[in-house]
Amino acid sequence: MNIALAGNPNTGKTSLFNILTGSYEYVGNWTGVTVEKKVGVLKNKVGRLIDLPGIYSLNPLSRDEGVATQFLLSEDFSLILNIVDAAQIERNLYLTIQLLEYGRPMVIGLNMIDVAKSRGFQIDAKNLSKRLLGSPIVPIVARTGKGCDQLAANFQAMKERKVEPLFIDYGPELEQAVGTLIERLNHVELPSKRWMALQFFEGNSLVRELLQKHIASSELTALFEQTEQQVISGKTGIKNLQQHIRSVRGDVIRAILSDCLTRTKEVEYTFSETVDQIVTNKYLGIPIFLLFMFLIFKFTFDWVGTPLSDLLDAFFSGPLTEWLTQALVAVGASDFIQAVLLNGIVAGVGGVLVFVPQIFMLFFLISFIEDSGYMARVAMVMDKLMEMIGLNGKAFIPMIIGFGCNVPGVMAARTIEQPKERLLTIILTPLMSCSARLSVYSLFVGAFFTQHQALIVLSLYLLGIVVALGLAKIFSSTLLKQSSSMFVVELPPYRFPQWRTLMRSTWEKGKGFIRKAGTFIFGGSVVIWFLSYAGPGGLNVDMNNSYLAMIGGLIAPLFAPLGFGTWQAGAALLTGFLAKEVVVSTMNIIYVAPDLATLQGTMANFYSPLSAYSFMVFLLLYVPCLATVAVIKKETASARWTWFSIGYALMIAYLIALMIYWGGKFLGFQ
Amino acid sequence: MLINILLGVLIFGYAGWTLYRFVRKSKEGKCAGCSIKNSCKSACDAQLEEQKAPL
Repeated sequence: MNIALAGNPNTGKTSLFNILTGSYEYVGNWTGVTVEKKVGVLKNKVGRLIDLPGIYSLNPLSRDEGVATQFLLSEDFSLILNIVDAAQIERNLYLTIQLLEYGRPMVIGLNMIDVAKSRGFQIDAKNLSKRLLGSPIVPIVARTGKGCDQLAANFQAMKERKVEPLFIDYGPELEQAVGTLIERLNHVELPSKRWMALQFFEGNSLVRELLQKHIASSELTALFEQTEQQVISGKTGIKNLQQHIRSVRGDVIRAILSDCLTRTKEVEYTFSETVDQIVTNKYLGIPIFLLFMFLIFKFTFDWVGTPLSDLLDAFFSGPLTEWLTQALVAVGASDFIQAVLLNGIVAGVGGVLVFVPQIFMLFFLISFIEDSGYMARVAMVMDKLMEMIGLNGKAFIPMIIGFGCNVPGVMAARTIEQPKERLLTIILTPLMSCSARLSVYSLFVGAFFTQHQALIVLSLYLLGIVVALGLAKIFSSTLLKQSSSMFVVELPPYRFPQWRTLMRSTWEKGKGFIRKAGTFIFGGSVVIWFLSYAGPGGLNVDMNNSYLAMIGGLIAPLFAPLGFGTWQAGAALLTGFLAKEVVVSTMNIIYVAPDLATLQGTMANFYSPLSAYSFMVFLLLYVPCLATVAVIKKETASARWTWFSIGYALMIAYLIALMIYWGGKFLGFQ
Repeated sequence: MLINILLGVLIFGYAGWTLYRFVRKSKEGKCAGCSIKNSCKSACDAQLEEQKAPL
């Protein structure tokens, strides 16, 4: 026996699936979409459970959502297990009704019954079951497994039962059209013709595709339009068939609930709803988001991160260097070995490692915001803005992920259905300032903007967002014109994140940074040091005559108009293409400084605050790192778009850094 | 002298190896080149290339 598990998103479907099944029999993808298909064997061995993607309605908004309809149309199953969130019962029953119209035996798990009770919902399950064709309804708490055994006990008996589809009267005009369509389908074998007809009139594109195999497309269109005309004429407030069907179903649901649902207390607003009224407010939403970002950087730089970094720096430049020198002298290491270890590795790797506290602080706060439920609100708040520029709120999620690392950000764009929106998101996500770039900002703001560290870094992050949005507008109205798509996001209730989970996800995100320091940054530092040590004149040359100076000097004149035309800047930017943290290593090596404070002092000879800011802006935008370029290539499967994403980034970085440098000069900044 | 050669080989050998590995992994793109691959819930599940919607 095959049982289909269906329900709205975030109703505890996965928890229920895990409780009812022992192990996965199959995990893969539904054909044609990137939605995971899970099949498991029920613990009581009566059959297999197939997990359908969470949906609000069988009429799909996107291809991913079409999976459930496709399943009903083409696969063999004997029972539907519908999970219903008792606390959101009115919305959940909309799907239940559509499934009942299909006409298969159904068992309903009424989940989160505890939450519903606390909100004052009392649901008469017996009565509700009667109203829903006698489908057994079992109150459960999927999170803890309470009631799930009783739920499973119903499967065997229900499978045998013959059920008629639920009949709802949609009014004479529509009923007549449904009758006509069913008659036209007389000669074909199809599951549940009335259901198909209703789905067709509701605008379900998958059902329409199937019907077109039997009835000419023009005939279907004519029938649809004619019916729509008849149904909406004379009705106020109803603009199309879909709306009419929705409103009839809504009335039915309300009638059912008026019999089966009593509210023992009136809870005006839940805590989450009250908070949402403020944080997703039309005018306050974005300022509140900005305020949160500002606080994040205050914590990361001023309040917690920098003091810790200073301690770490004191340790590297003090005791660690001392011990290492003594040990090297004791074993009789040559000057060359001493130099590569102290001026190359300790400077390069240590220079990056001192920023570990800041990176971890940032990751901790990002994890906090993710786990608390605010992240979903950010996407919603940004949706309005994103719509104006030809994207939607969904595209903002890959961008937020890009703040951690651009690579998963680019990959997260896969969730976007519209191909052009996805491409646009892929090529713009690298403009989001990733955590690797943070180490470079840390170095520069510590040197030039001690008083306003958080504000300067915030401005860079915002610049990344603003440039991305601006380019999205330009690209979507020129290169990538497209039809708009819709964005639906489920807002989970707010909660205080668990410390354990927070710590773990911070560590998971941050440990890659430490590992990179021990591997790639190490290797990079040795090579960069060697290039600065050797030159055409042999080894141990003056650094200005080294190979590194020659390479950096080649491109340095290009950067002169931006305020940083030194070979050091050129060399740092070149190495930064491999990974942005390497810029910090390179600077530590070429400015030969024993500690952070001295380095920052030395840098003051080469940069003014204005040219330092221009440098940071250039670094933010100039080119995605090697790993990101590779993932763009993989995801777009196009060399042309990959080169485009490098090329436009270089141009825009140069242009904006130029504007900032000269604009700043014009305004009298130094 | 011996200690110098030993340290030199260790340092430069390890450096060369890490660089080689980094460039190879980065070119693979995807999860291999990603610094948060272990915690990433968004895209690193086993999705097959051909099942991706075409651009």
